[in-house]
Amino acid sequence: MNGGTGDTAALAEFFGRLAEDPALYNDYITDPVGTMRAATPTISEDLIAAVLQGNLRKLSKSFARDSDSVVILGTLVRG
Amino acid sequence: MGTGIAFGVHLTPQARRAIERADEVFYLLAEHTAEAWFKRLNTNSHSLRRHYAVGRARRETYERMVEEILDAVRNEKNVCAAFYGHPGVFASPSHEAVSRARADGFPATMLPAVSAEDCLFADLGVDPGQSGCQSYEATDFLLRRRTFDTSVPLILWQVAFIGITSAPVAPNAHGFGVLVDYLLGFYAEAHPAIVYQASPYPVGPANIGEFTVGNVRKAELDGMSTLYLPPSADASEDAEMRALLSGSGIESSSESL
Repeated sequence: MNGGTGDTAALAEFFGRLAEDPALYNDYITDPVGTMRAATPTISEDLIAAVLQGNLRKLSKSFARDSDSVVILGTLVRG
Repeated sequence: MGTGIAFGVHLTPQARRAIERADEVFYLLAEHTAEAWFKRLNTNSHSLRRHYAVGRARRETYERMVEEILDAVRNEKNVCAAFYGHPGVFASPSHEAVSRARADGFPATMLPAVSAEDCLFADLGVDPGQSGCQSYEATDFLLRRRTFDTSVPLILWQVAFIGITSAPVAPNAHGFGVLVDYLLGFYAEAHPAIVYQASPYPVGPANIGEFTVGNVRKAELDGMSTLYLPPSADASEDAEMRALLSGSGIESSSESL
């Protein structure tokens, strides 16, 4: 479903749980690395670093499906 | 309604209730990662993502989205359409869906949400109350040579897809180059230029690339990249206006104004 396998799928699931579970979110704020490792044991150091540094390009590529075009919701410019 | 930018944590209680109580939900999220989370909110949810196709005009893509939403409305369903960010900010299909539903005699409401601009204000520490704020879609800014004031912050959206009317596949470096050349007619090469992207994930910082107008061309743009230019100088006060305001009892120091 989330377009990833292994650690990217686990990270996607972790993000979904963070959105719904205030206790997990609080754990993450206190200890981001420990909470990520506990929730997603297979996650790579590379992906942990991408989350912590806000490397959106790397995260987005990790999650993307090969066949996707870019989804951009925008305003149509007149003319 | 809008889901906000960071999925899950930006969703307002009002928006969540609208999703949960709807008979049918249509959604467009920027990230695949958000879809599993979103579908748990209402199991009768349908992604609008499939309307994107390489080479298809965005106008047609949006038209298909609007008609899919309206079909359900016309079938007398309680329909919720969820778009990432704020549904009324840089979002043609949501405005159109509300407008057509009302024209067909159905009640339709747009719920506010956290927009990318809200995130930018927070992440870059910009307060539009300080010296105003100019915010333009980049293609529109260029095509119409919008009049702007370099003493006021300038935000330009969709800078990666300047001049592109189909489903974008990759950033348009040529269009961005045209924009930079144009801006160099108004700002010094050394003037700061920030390439900004809010994080779509529930945790993690934004992407903030610090450049100058002279070298921002080398920035690696993403689909959600936004260009922010801080003011280049303070605007001087108008003495006559200050005198007029002083007459109304307002104190004369600019601090108090």
